[in-house]
Amino acid sequence: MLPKNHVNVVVIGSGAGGGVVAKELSFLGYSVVLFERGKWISYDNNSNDELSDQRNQILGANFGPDFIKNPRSFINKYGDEEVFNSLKGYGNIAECVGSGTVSYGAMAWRFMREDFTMKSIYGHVKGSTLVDWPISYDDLEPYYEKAEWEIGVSGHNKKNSFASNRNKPYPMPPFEINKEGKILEKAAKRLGWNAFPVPMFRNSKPYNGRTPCMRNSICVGNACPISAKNGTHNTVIPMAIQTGNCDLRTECIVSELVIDDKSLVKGVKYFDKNKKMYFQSSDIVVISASANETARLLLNSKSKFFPNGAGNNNDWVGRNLQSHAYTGAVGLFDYDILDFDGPGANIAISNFSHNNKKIIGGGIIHNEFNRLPYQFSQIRPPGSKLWGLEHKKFQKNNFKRLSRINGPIQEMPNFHSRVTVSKKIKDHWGIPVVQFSGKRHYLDHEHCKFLSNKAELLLKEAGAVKTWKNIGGKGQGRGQHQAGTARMGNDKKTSVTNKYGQIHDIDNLFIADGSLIPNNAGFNPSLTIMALGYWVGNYVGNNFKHLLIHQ
Amino acid sequence: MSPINRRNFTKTSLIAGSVLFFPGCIIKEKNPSFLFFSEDEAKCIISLCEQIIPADEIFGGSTDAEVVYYIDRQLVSFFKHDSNIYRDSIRKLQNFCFKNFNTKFNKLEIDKQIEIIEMMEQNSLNYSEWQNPSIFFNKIRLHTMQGFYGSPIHGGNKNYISFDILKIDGLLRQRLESPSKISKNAS
Ligand SMILES: Cc1cc2nc3c(=O)[nH]c(=O)nc-3n(C[C@H](O)[C@H](O)[C@H](O)COP(=O)(O)OP(=O)(O)OC[C@H]3O[C@@H](n4cnc5c(N)ncnc54)[C@H](O)[C@@H]3O)c2cc1C
Repeated sequence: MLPKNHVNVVVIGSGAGGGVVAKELSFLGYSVVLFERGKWISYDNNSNDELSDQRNQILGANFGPDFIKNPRSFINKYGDEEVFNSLKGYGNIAECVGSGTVSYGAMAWRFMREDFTMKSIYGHVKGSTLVDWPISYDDLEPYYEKAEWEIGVSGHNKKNSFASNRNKPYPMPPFEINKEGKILEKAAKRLGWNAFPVPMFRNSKPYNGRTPCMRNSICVGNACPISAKNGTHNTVIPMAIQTGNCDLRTECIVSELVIDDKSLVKGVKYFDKNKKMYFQSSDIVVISASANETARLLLNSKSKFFPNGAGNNNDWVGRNLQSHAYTGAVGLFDYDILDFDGPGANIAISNFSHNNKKIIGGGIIHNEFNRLPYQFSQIRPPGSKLWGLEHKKFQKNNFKRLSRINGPIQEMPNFHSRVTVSKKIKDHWGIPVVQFSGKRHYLDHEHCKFLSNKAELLLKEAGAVKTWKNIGGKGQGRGQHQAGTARMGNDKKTSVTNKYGQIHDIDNLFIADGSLIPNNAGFNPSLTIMALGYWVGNYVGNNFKHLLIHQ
Repeated sequence: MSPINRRNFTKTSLIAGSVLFFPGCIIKEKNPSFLFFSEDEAKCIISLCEQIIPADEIFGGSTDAEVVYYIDRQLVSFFKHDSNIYRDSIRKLQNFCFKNFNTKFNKLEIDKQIEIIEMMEQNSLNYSEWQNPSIFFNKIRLHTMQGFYGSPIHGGNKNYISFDILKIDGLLRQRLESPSKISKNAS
């Protein structure tokens, strides 16, 4: 007999992937419980203060989590476990309804066709687990389209000559280019490069009953005061709830998947906000807790046939942790190049995403979101005074005169960069926490140099009086763009799920978030994660219809 | 103004500034008790912060922005883990100054203070009891920048002084000043 509160589907996490899956399945008539460890966040609860925004996270993070209640650790250079004493390096996205999609910069990139067949194009890369995805760009294309239309993306249909084919135009036109963007656009043209407007999860016109963007320039890391920035919190999640089939339970943290002796998941254990533990029974579980937390949950769920954690019999859960090494250059101009007309990042160049000499993959480059006064105080030409009158003078004279071109490099996934669970440290609820170890592939830093050179070239061409590079790619990738810890694949021995996000050997357990991504491309991943949410949701929806008949 | 004149001007105004603030009475009026620092420690921190972001001909520096309150508040909340290094470093700095100049850091002339900070930055103090002062210096340098350029809701940046310096106006100014209903670490 099933418990009284039994439902068809439990979805864990209401971010980019989870919000989409919950909507897809509740629309088809499945009963869904959507667990979210955080709360709803409203703009009024948050300041635009840069010290606690989701970008800098110096004084905590406005969109969560509280790192005291939710500790994490890492293996330091001496080989010892160390607990993070701030959110620096913690690998955070967010903890709230919508997660990162509330405070993100909202660039809405599709990956390119080539990103799905990296191994075929570039061959084996020493020390890397680079592979072809088990699905192609064409498989995902209709789901990219669905994400663009349901979440809402503005963009130019033709100007990015490197974009892979699309069947349907963007639902909204692109944003007008700001002052800085126009100058860079011209410079790119002179260099023979193709500059185009950044596609954005933002309303460039009224859309879905919400107003257009007012071109606020400080919304990366913050919420939108008029809800013109589109995430799962103001699109698919409310849609799911409206069906009456989706029960969103906030401030509920799932601690374990319960897997029986027939290798099926029976439901989940979770704590409510009063720290009381419950069991939620379901036919299907979809994990969308983000790459770091999804791996943790799988590893914390031990059972008879999976003594090392759910789906982990081949030791691939938590491996291949990637993010994006950011890299670029800064240019100082002798006039005010910034007009602070939002959204900030609005011109991009994709000439260097692939087909580069001696480089595996590559990355997009774009002008940066605006940096606020504190961040700006840390951007200086090499060798500059970092304090005193000289520093203050630079600050005073150049706040509107710096242009920064940045981009995410395609990281080379590797087996040793990973999430495990700590043997010692437990969180507020007594659940063993994420522990990081390993680091990026050595090529990432080399590739960053390449992309930084291009960024600097653009700034020089644009007339910067002084330029310098900031080259990334060291350390471990585990932050905002975390991915890869439960990769999809055709071979059970080298992946965690099949191509539908279904965990190998646990037929009713699925994943729909950044963990599925085998290689994270040279673009921000949210749109791809949402597309994967639709892809997995579609598969589950079509293959478990027998559950609906009994209702 | 010739470079030399400017320098002299700055120097005198700085000294004037420091004299003005060091009796500590202004601070006492505003906030009789720090959360973390003793009155003496605060004086040392105020001097350090003032050299990191000094007053200039037109605009005030860390003392005017009350950066010390930003740091003080964080040391009992978000930067608790740094409280030992602060306490320890202040003590070492004062000992160093007593040993070499027979007075406290905050009683030294501005130029001398700057010189000492430069040595802290470069780990060249040559003081065996304090091997790596740059670790502390880099912390207080960043914390000073945060307190000066961040939002006043955390203490610091009093009257949005740094936004004036950066000439942040119009919509951007409005947006930066607007919401702030909740300060997470308001005590
Ligand atoms: C400041 C910032 C800027 C960004 N800018 C961009 C951008 O411009 N473009 C872009 O594409 N991406 C951007 N991102 C990244 C983007 O937000 C992430 O890639 C995306 O949200 C990841 O989706 P996900 O579904 O994997 O995980 P998430 O969206 O993080 O969702 C995971 C959810 O699961 C919840 N959860 C975790 N564990 C549990 C548990 N045990 N029980 C219950 N709930 C749980 C979490 O609280 C969270 O809400 C940005 C992120 C940040 C923070």
